[in-house]
Amino acid sequence: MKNIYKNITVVVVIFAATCFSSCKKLLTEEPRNSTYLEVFWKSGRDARSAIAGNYALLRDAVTDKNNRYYMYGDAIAKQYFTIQYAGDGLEGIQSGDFTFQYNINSLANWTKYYKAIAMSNTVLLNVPKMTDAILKDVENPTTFRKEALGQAYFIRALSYFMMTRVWGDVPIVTEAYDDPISAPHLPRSPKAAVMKLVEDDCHKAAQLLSWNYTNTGDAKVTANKGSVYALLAHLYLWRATMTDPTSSTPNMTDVNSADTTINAVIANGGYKQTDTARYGTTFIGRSTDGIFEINMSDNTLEGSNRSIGTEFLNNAYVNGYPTNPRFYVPKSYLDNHFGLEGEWVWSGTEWQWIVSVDKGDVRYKNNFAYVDTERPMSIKYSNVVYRNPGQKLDAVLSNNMIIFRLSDLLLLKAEIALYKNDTQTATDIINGFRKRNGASAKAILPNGMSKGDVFYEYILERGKEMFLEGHLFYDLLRTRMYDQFIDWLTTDRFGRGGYYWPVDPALFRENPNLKQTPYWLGKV
Amino acid sequence: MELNFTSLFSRLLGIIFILLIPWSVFAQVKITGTVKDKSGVLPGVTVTEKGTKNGITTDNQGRYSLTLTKADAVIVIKMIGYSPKEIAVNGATTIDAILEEDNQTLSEVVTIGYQKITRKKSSAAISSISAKELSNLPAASFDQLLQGRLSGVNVQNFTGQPGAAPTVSVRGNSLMSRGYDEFNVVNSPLYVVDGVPQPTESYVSPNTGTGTNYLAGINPADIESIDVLKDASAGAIYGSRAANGVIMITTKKGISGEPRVGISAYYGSTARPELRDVTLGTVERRQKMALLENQLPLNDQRYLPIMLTDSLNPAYNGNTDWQDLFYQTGRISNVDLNLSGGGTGGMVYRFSAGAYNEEGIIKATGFKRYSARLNLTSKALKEKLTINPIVAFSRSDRGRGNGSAGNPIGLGAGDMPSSLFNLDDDKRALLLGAYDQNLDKNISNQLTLNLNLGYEFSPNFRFTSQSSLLSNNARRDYSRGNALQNNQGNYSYAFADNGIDVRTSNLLSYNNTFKKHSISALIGQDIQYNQYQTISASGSNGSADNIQVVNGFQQSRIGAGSDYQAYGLLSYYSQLAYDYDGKYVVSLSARADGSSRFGANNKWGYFPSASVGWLISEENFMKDHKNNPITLFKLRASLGNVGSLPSSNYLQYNLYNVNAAGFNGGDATSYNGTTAITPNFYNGVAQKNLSWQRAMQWNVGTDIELKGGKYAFSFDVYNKETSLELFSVNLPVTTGYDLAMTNSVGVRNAGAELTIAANPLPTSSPFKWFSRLNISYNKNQIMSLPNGGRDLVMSGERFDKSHILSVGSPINAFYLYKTRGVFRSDADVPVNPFTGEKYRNSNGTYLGGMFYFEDLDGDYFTDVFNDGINPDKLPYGDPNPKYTGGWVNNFSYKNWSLGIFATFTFDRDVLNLFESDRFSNSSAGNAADFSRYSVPDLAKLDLWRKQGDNAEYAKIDIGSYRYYYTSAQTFFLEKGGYLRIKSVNLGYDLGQRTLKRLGLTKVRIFGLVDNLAMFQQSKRLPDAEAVNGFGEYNGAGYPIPKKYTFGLDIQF
Repeated sequence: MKNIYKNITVVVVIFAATCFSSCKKLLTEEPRNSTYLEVFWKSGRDARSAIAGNYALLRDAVTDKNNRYYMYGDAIAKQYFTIQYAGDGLEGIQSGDFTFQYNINSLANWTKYYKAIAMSNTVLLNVPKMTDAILKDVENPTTFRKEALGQAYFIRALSYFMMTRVWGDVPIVTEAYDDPISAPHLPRSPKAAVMKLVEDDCHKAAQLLSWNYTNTGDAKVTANKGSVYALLAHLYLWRATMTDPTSSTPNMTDVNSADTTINAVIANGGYKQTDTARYGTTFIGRSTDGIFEINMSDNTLEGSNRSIGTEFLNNAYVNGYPTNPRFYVPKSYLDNHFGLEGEWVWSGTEWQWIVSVDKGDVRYKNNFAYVDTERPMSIKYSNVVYRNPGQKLDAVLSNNMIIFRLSDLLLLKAEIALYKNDTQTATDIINGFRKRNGASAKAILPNGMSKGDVFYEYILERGKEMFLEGHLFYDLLRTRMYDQFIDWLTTDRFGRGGYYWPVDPALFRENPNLKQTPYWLGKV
Repeated sequence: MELNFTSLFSRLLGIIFILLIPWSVFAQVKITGTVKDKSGVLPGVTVTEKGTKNGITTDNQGRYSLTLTKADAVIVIKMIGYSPKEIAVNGATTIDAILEEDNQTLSEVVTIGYQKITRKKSSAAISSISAKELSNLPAASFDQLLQGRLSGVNVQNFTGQPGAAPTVSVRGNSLMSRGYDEFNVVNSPLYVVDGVPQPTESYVSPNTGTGTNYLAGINPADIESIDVLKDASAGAIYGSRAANGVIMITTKKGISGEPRVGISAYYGSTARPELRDVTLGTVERRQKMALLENQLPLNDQRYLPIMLTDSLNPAYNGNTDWQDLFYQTGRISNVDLNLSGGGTGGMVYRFSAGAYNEEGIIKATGFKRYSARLNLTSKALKEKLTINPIVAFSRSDRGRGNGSAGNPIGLGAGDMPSSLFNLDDDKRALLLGAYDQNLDKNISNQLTLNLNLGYEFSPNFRFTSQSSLLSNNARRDYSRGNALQNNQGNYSYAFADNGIDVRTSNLLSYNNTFKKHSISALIGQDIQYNQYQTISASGSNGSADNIQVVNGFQQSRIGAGSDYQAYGLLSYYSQLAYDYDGKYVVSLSARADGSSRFGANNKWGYFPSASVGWLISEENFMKDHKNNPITLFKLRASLGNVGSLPSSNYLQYNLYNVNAAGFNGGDATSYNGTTAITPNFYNGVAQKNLSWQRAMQWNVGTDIELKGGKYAFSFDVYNKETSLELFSVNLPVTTGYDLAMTNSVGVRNAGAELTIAANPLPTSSPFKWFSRLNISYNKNQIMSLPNGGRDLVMSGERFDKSHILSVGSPINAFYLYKTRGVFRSDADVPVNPFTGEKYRNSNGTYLGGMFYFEDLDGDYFTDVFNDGINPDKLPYGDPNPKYTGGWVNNFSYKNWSLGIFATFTFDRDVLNLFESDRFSNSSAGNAADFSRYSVPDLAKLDLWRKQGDNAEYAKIDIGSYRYYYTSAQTFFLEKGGYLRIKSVNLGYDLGQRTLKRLGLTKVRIFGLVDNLAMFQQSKRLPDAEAVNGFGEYNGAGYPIPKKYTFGLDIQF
């Protein structure tokens, strides 16, 4: 018996020993098919990838759902282009009805913006913890950290700015949660708070970023001080005019701030408007005019086969595309914006009153095709690249998404001048744009026009210069010119905030603190 | 070759062990004899001297010779399937015996986890079957054969594709998911082969890898017995993985004696079932024309599709039976060879090899398996050490047709073209090219190496060590030619995976009897490590069709990837069984599992269980009763806790996404050329607090045997509450994350199981009849859901979103509009009294002839788009079968035997997508769409044709956009009950005289029909079994074929 117990003891001891040495390891398996928080943020390379991820999430948010940046900013302003029926109900938004099921589910849902914001918050949490010792793979750790943080602030500010223009009040989140599972459900914060956050973030970003890029390859498609100021200028003008929609008197403090900011960009940014001979290159990207663009260039295999440009192009431009693209530019837009005074023309048999179009304007020549047909086409974004060039297959557009550019800011100065009742400066700026772009002499405005008329001409000029860049609807709101251009947006609807989007009811399912956009209460 | 090698090998081993055994000399008495049963001599019967290890087995002629250690010995003669016999020697030198076939199931030994125990003393709920029942049935894997044979085990073959996995569930389903995954609807049990848990979980979908059923690598002919541990007391010894039941498989071992060779072979064919009912040619044309003329307004009739009007057009005057193109009659063949024997000193071996080949009924589908297995047992160190290595290898090769698991012929109910299209040679070549010209090679190799060691310190104390290595690798090679890739160049794909599972299990056991007290106890430890790696590569837009590997593609057209998954599991367990006087049985077990899949806070889970049994028939008041027909009466009860593991290995980490730069229109991996990395905002949040999923289960049962096993009943009632099941919850949008797992779902499965077995005819009758019926009832109900128990409409693959998870409803209940009938006329459509508007959907008001959906919320509006909660839909029905079971009937008369086996499933609801799709293929279009697709035989249907018709079917929907033929309505919900005559098996055993002349031990000739006949409740379903786990029949899957085989069993 004794022997048995001895044997058993030996066996047990051997197996217990093997286990204690190996079991801890056995019960710890680390992922090898993915990186993860516990091993990330350990080098400059990591931080760079994270920032790239932050931009990528923003790109995902703005291109999502039929390139929503343009749906919010241009499509619903109606007059600039027409969306044809295709079964998904998207065209409904052009008549001011945002309630169709698919549009509610997609365009009224802000989830993707919060992913970009969450990424910014993650960067803001983790980059400050990256000491010089961790950042040994970068040349100047201090600058590196500043630039990383500055960009994160900028992306967060831009995301909130885009959201507050679409929804007004939105939830504010500025922390990266340690434990997202127990994170609170946030209510919508007042738009004033959102705009204050955008302003603060911009100020922080501006302090962290410089006018120059450490790496010239990052120019335009990542943020620098110029990008931040451009955003700030837009914010100031939006806040000056849209804080109280019932008042048509802008807040002059904000207007002045916008002016100062734009002047700083002009003075320090080193930007230059593109030579009109090479006008088209602006919209491929990285022109001297560009201030902030979202990279969608196929040089880095980031071209898109569904960018806003593809919606307009037919098979003459891209192999395999339809003959009748879904989006087209109505003739009325061309006539309104590029039409000159009519004149009597002798046709050979009789005199006819012909409205001629300003064919000399480079923005007309460059941006539109099939102008004499029922469905003119926008070719502003048509830098087609075939990834399979042999068979002309796998076409993508290699056009960056232009968010801010110098010409945009220069033209905003006309708006600022108008708010300051300086119609002459405004007229000069508008005329300057027209002359520069080769417009006919008939298009030049006379001096001494009324402020209202100059506002109208200003909107036309924005419509020409900023066509399909995601700004036009907001221009119409700020300047209160919407009532002359958008039939569905009545003064009453405007007064009740009817230009804002509803919120997808799916978001309420989880969040009891969320409230519907007031105008859409009971309508969705 | 293998045969020679094995016999050589065994001889060699024999010699080694003979050398090892210390020979000692006794004062000996030698006895000899022959053992027979009614039909003749019995080889392989164990004859032992009682109370010793001295024993031998009978040879081919049933003879034995045993040298006794004591003159007054008692010999015990035993064989599986026969009642054991004890005979006192009393000085005799020749003892012949005739064994009686045994009907008692309770003397059988069952395997419960790490122990073997007689069924009589078991207090757990276990169902078992033996090899005999599974022999020679034509199926690629044994799990398909379990259907209907074991109570509590529900097997449904939703596809007839050879080598694909059926769904197997033990005591109901508790798996829930947010999305739609046809291959992952029901949680499968843990399979344990020869003590080794099998890594059956798959990390890749069948459409990525080979998709071959892991269990198809095990040759059913090698299986000795299958025990299913259903309740917690039996399963708890497998703790963390037993929540869905444990299926224990024991493979055959050698029988000592002279080498014995057996060959069994069968050949046969597989036949396609009846195809769906379609109309062809002019019949189709006339029906469609008549319908259009009747249904379309006059103005639209001016534009009737040319396809119908121009019957002389050679493009449209076809008579093509599209289904016919893809089917074939397949052949099936199987050869098994086995070789077994053993020598002195307890050395036995068994070697088997098998080749199975089944051709599918769809072109280019099939399954081949080559398998070999060696099981060797020998003893050393004064017979105290048992050495039992098992080596098994199998290679399977699965043909996959067009490569799609869900849609093997590529024509669903909704998109089957009209027969009027003529099929020219090019088109035919293109269609069939996917079958004939494609390369799609799917090879799986499985190697199993087991080493089981047992050492007896004393007759009471034993140390057992099991070590195993499972090495599985599979690869898929796939290529498609230029023509099948829209002329964009050929495509090649290669995928390989490699899995390794290493396990060692060490346990100490103690058994003893003190007067009337018996105790058996064990304590042990398991270590398991599993690693799985994949690698895949693909190339597209290639320039030469005959390149069938990933080579010669442009760099930018090549994709590649690999993956690594690993987990470790460490367990400690203990089992304690006690019985008093064979009357009162108590059993306790406990297991602690530590898993690498959980975070530091919850690595360990503890799973206890207990069971008690009372053998009333052992009590004196029953025993003393003369003529008591009750030979056994047992009551038992158990209670315990079992668990299951999450399927993801790395939930405890905050995972990041690399290349996270995709956007609408771009599959970019970078931003401005810098690789984008973000947290995995979909579901990558770290889950450090996740804990084990648990199921608390109780079971009460009884086993009764009458007249020495002539009749047997077994009845169990159970309740299994799965709680803390992992399920994803929505996180606040503002966190950036979408979903995270929490222990948040509860499911209850409760039910009862009844098994009745009978041998109604007297033992003296030459005609024998054995009958066994088992019925299992299981009711499944969701008890709790995350996010405050809110209903969750599953994001299905279909627009209709026809499933919901709802507290109180069964898992995956249907979410449907209630069809009230068909509006007889336009005037029948109700009007909203407040607005004066007619009942409508977002595309307009309803009209006569359309289906009338119940307006549940009373707003005179049905929302057809709503993908979340829809106020006009309700949860209906239950896709989980409630009653399942089977009925075995075996008859024998002299040398003839007949087996008839039927399985059944009742009280299950099926959503007939097949039918809805056949009607809805034109609902989004116009008359041209209607004419382009195949439609059912309209003449046979009670279709609405004109105002006032009281019809069963609504009028064909031609571009109305009212979507009234949506599949998400009760009209398409059918009763899915069926009874299937699964197999009929007729056999003839050659008589002893003939055998002697031939020099053989046994010859059996048999013929078998598999899936002979089907009786089902629904007239509209082509096959009520070919229904997926969601309870959907879409008609696109692989039909379940009939198989006819004819074979031979020979023992040398």
